[in-house]
This record gives sequence, C-alpha cells and structure tokens, in this order.
Amino acid sequence: MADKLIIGGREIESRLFMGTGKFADYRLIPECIKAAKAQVVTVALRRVDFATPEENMLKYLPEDVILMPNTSGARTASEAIRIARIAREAGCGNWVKIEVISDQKYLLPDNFETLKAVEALAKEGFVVLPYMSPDLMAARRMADAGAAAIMPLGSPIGTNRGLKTRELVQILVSEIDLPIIVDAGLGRPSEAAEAMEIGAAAVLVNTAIATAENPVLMAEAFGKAVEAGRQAFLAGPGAQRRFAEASSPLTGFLRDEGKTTP
Amino acid sequence: MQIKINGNAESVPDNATVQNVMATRKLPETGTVVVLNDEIIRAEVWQEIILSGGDQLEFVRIIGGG
Repeated sequence: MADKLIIGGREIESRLFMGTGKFADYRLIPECIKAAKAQVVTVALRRVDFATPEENMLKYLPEDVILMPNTSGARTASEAIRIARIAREAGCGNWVKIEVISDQKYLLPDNFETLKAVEALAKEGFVVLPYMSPDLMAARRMADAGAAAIMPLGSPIGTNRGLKTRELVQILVSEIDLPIIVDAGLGRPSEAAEAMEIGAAAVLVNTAIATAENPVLMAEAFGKAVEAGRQAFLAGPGAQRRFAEASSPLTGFLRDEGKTTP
Repeated sequence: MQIKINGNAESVPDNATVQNVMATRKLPETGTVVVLNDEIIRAEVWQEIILSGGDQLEFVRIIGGG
C-alpha cells in the first residue's frame, strides 16, 4: 500500500512544507524549494509599504507549488477570516494556514480564536490548516470543525529549539485522525526527522532554512531528513531497552571459558 | 473628500477613482491587491470604481511568510 499524504482531497508528494519568510534574497526561494523538493509553500499578506515598495514575491514561486497563505498579523478570529478571504480572492487558492497570535513574546497561537476561525473558514470551503498549541481537546474540536490537518508547534516560531512539544505531539498523532504537521521551531534536519519518526505526517520549516548560512544546502538536508524520518516511522523502530543486549550470540567465543589469557 | 488608505486618513479629490489614487503612489509593477471596504477590486475595474467619502482602501501584497 503506497504511503500517501492526502490533504483537502489532494495528494501531496512532499512531506516538507516550506515557509518563504526571512530569506535574504527572494531569488533563494525557488532554489530552496527545488532543493527541498517542497510542494506546499506558505506566504503572508501585508499592506503595501509606499515608502519602500518591494518587488512581487509571487513571481519567484514555481508554477506547480501549492500556496498556503497564512493569516499572520491576525490577533482574532475575525481578522484571520478576513485575511483568508482576501488571500483567496487574490488568487492564492483555497488553502489557508490559520495563525492567530496576540502574544508578542513567544508568538504562541491562540487556540480559542483559532478554533473559531476554523469553524467559519471550513464552512466557506477553505482547506483549513490551523497552527496551534498542542492541546488534545483543542485539536479534537478543530478536527470536528472541519480542519484538513492540525499543525502543532514544535517550539516557538523562529527559535530553532526543536521538538520541545514532542510528547504532546505524540498524543495528537495517536489520538487525532488527521495529518499532524509539526510547524514552527524545528531548527535542524535531525529535529524534522525526529518529528517524522514519531508519526508526524509532515513538517513546516521556515527559519531554519532561510537563515542558514547556506539555505539551499540546508533545504536539501531538510528534504532528506524528512524522507528518512518518514521511512524510519514506516519501518517500525526497535524497542528501547534499559540494559544492554549483545549484537552477536554469547557463545562460541574464541577463548576457553574460565581462563583469561594474560 | 476623506477616505482611509492603508488605515491612514487621507484627502483625495472628489470623484477620484481607484486608479487615480494608485497613480499618486509608488506601487510595485505587479502583485498589488486592491481591497475596498473588504471587497477585492480587480485590475480591470480600477479605472471605473469611483470612491466615496469614508471608504476604506487597502493596497495589499503577498510577501514571504512562514
């Protein structure tokens, strides 16, 4: 049976979703997407800054990516809903990453407002992927409200601290019947592999790639790590033990028992 | 008349169109999305839509994000 990731009725080829923020140069983005073999790519919406109008970032994205606009900037459900509608109208497709944050120190998502946004946007036909703090009850409610996947954080956005929420994410993987996509805080390919090994359906990585010294090389590394982690999960890792267990039988040694050769 | 542009109160000529207002700003060549009172205004009608006092006009674009 093939190992497929299906979200919003679409088969997703790559379990590495990539963010497009923080890149020193927009030209790195398509190179990193290619190196990572990413297919789903997040973008954000902002008002034009008349003082320093930038070039259009969209022209750097390959034609065949799946755009996932986020609702970053939203502090409430209604702000998120508005951003999602504008993004869809602007031609970004009907996927949306719900991101509702009013905590400026840790950028932790507001699960309560996020749930309200899930309810509203799922009803409007969006493919909704909520970014959330890994709480089982919140995830259940978001799933019941029509989310297409659940995206719990690994650690706070931009911190590169890894899968600090490992045990809570494991609970979501085991209890929620939707793809669990670890989003935020994964700082190294090994951390992305770790998330995949515990059964995450995918991971979303932005800062760790964009701010690496060599983002293209790092994107490639993340791509490989996500594949390896998924394979390890499917392969069924062996048990962890408290005490050692020898690799070869404890008989037939090249020595006589009872006498140690001086 | 007074309208809001990107959240800021500004004065524009009466009967100004969306296109008129855009001409007075430095906007990127492509990729600007125009939102008027929560409705997206497509490029084809920028010249036709006449603004009214109290309108909320937003110029939005897609940028990198995580």
